[in-house]
Amino acid sequence: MLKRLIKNRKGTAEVIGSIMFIVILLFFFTNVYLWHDAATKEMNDMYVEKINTPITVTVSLNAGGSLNLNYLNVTNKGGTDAQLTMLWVDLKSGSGGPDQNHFYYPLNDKVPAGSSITIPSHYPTGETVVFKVITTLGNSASCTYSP
Amino acid sequence: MRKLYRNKKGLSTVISTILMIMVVMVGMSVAFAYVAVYAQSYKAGIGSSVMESLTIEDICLGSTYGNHVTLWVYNSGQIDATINVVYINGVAATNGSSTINFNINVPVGAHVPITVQASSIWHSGATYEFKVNTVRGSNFVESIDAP
Repeated sequence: MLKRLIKNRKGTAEVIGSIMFIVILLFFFTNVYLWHDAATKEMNDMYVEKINTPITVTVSLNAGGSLNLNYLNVTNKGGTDAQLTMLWVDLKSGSGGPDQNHFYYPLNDKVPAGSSITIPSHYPTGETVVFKVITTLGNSASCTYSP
Repeated sequence: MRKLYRNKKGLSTVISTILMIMVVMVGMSVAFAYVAVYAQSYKAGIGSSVMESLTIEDICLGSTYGNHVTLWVYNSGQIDATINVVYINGVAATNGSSTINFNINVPVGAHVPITVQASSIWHSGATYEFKVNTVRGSNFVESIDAP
């Protein structure tokens, strides 16, 4: 029975053609799956890094302990270095109305894990402001100062 | 040669075999092209949405309350994003005219301003949720309390 089946060549081309077609289809779908898997892994790594780079912002202090409004302290409280990309200075209205203006200042400073750095605050004298710092991974931290 | 042309024996078998081969070739080519195009468009389109990451870094309601707002969007993802629709408290905002589709490209690492118009004016103390929607279907949300 088996010998006869092997000797019978009828339909061999169809079988080989079908197998080749399935192999080609599998190649494409495997390619898409592997690409998607790599993309997801890459983004997961980015999100893990983002979670590991929380920052805080405070107004800098002089040696005597008084406020130095010309500078801000940015502290990295995570385990991975943080790269700063933008400082926002939002001028608040003294009477509680809408904000008067929002200014932005591009940054290119690295905050090593667990350390602090000082950056210029661009503080407009005598105003109530919100300072907001953004990292390249999308983390942000803000602090408010009222004179 | 003349005899060969006149002999019509087995003609239908030859024609049917040629027809069969042609039909199979065309069918397989169509299926192959469909799979190839599907794989490519998935990679370039919705499949890439996992690599999108936008941060709404600043929301400026303006110095006088109206219904305009400027959103600053930062692309912290791995791929360029195109902003399609902006929702304010679930309602699609416009760009001043009747259109709700913005089609604003945000390259990787870029800070891009988008000025949109809400359906009603801002009210002091109210909370507004801004949702940025990309053409690949990703959503990024940020809320503020109007000062």
